[in-house]
Amino acid sequence: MSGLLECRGVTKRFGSRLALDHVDLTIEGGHIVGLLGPNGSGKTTLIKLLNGLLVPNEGEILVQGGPVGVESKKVISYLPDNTYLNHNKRVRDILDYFEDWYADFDVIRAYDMLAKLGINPNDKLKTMSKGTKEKVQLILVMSRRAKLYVLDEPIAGVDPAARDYIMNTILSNYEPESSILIATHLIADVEQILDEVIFLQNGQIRIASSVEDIRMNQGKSVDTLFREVFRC
Amino acid sequence: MAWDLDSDRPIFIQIVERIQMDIISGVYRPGDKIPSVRDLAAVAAVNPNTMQKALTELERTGLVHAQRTSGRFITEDVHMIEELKGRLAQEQISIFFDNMSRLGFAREETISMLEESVKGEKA
Amino acid sequence: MLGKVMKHEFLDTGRVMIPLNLGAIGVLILGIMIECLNFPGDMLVILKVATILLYVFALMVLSVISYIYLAVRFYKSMFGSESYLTHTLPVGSFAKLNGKLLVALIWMLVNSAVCALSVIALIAVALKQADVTVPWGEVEQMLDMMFQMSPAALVAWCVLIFIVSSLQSLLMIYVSMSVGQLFQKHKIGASVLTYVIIYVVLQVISATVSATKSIALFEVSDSMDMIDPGFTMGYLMGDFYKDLLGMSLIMSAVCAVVFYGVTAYICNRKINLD
Repeated sequence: MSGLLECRGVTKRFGSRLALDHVDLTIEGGHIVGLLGPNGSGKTTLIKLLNGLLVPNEGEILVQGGPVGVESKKVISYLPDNTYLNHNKRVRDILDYFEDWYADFDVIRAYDMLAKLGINPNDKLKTMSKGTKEKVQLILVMSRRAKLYVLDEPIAGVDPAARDYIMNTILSNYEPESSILIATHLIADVEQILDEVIFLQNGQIRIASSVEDIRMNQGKSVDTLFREVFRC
Repeated sequence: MAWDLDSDRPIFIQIVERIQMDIISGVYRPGDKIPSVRDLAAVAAVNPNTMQKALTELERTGLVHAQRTSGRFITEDVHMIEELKGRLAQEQISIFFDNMSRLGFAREETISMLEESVKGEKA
Repeated sequence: MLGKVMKHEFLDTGRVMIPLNLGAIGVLILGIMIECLNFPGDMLVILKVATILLYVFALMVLSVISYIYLAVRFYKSMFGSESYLTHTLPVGSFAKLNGKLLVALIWMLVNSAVCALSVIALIAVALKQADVTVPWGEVEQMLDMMFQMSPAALVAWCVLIFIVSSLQSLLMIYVSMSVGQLFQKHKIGASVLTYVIIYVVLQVISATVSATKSIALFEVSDSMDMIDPGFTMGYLMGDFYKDLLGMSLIMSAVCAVVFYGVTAYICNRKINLD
């Protein structure tokens, strides 16, 4: 049975710089996976490859057994690390847009979450604070009933109370056939909701393990292990 | 509010401990239905697979049992709960004596200090 | 899929394009009103002529603004700040490219139609006010001699050439941006450079082709005139302009196809977003 996501020998170069070096990984459905690594480790490159924003130099990426393309984009919900929406639009218009393009977009759920966070759908993005914009983007991504959610630094620019809400949203969205891939450097904050982690360094996977195994076998938190492995 | 869990130890073990405490202290009474894995995981702010592991462990020891379609229930076996209470109490006592001995107190000294402080409280 | 892309593209671009074109029409109405003014004095004539000149200038500015807006829009949505959104939508890259291209083309045509019709309207009003009648019969005859086809056919040809050359100019921008994308740094610089290079190459090619044709004509004309006096004049008055139309159409079409092919290949296979 092929996994939800499979990377086989994925390699990506930018000019002479090797960003990803023959990466092999598999993610099955029903997991929340942490993609951890310092800046420049290849996290964002890998994420862009999964989403078809880059093409690998070597290797292949399979989503539900098929290549990256129109079909894979239907089942992947991506939260980039930056604001990628048109700031002149109203939240309401963006919701309509997503509803039009994605069959799995749950617009009722989106409005519900907006209401809970006190965000007015008639507001334009450009009038919002950075934190609010990030919440809107997260709501858009989590309102899709996707198979793979790819979140690039979902809690970095957000206050602690909203972080709790976001983690809670991620947990309540959990479906046994879907998985969530979270790339972050705020490990201590998210490690409780992860069940697997991948440590990426210089384009290679250093560690791929279940979180509880690390705690049991090494007697450390993932955060502590990370600091040891990536000691400067 | 999320449960206060320590990331240095396996989370599922801490969940088992917490649920055991809840059973003994009466938060969960014998025969009570416990929430679904998803709901419990969301409340505790932990990964559902981890919660599942904890519940499976509790099922293994018999504290919790699953009815096929209706969900999971606390055991009605009051005796088992009493036994657990006793075991946990013993653990606490062992830990206490260990700590006291690390501080340098012998067993008899520890016991007389205990009696003293109990008398002091009554007075 | 294509329909959806086009629908959203219209919605997004319409916000700028519709007011622009409506503005042009508004200024046209103003211009017509000025032309219809009727009080004595030389100043009035100067005013009227100035109005027409200013209006034509304004229309040129409008066209340039539209073109630049459409180019920037393509860049933003395909390679710039909105590119992540565009490329994670569940839609094929051909549909994306075609949709944006067609919508941009339609706007350019709308724009030109507004320009052409309003210039014609304004001049017609001005001429009528000045009681000048255009000798349509003679104009038609001359055109017939030059192009050897009816005015209607000539107009059809011009429209066709216009569509193809609009496609070519849009695609020239698209392909320059796409080629620029292949570089790691200085992407915009590379795009501009590509555009300039293509432009220069095209100019050289078309100059060469016309020069060759003229030289060929030169070489032949003396001898041909000896055999058949009036050959050169006849040719110049006949097929020359038609050939010119045909050649520029073919050149534009070939360029458009090549630019499209390269753009599609890069967007499909070599995508490289920051």
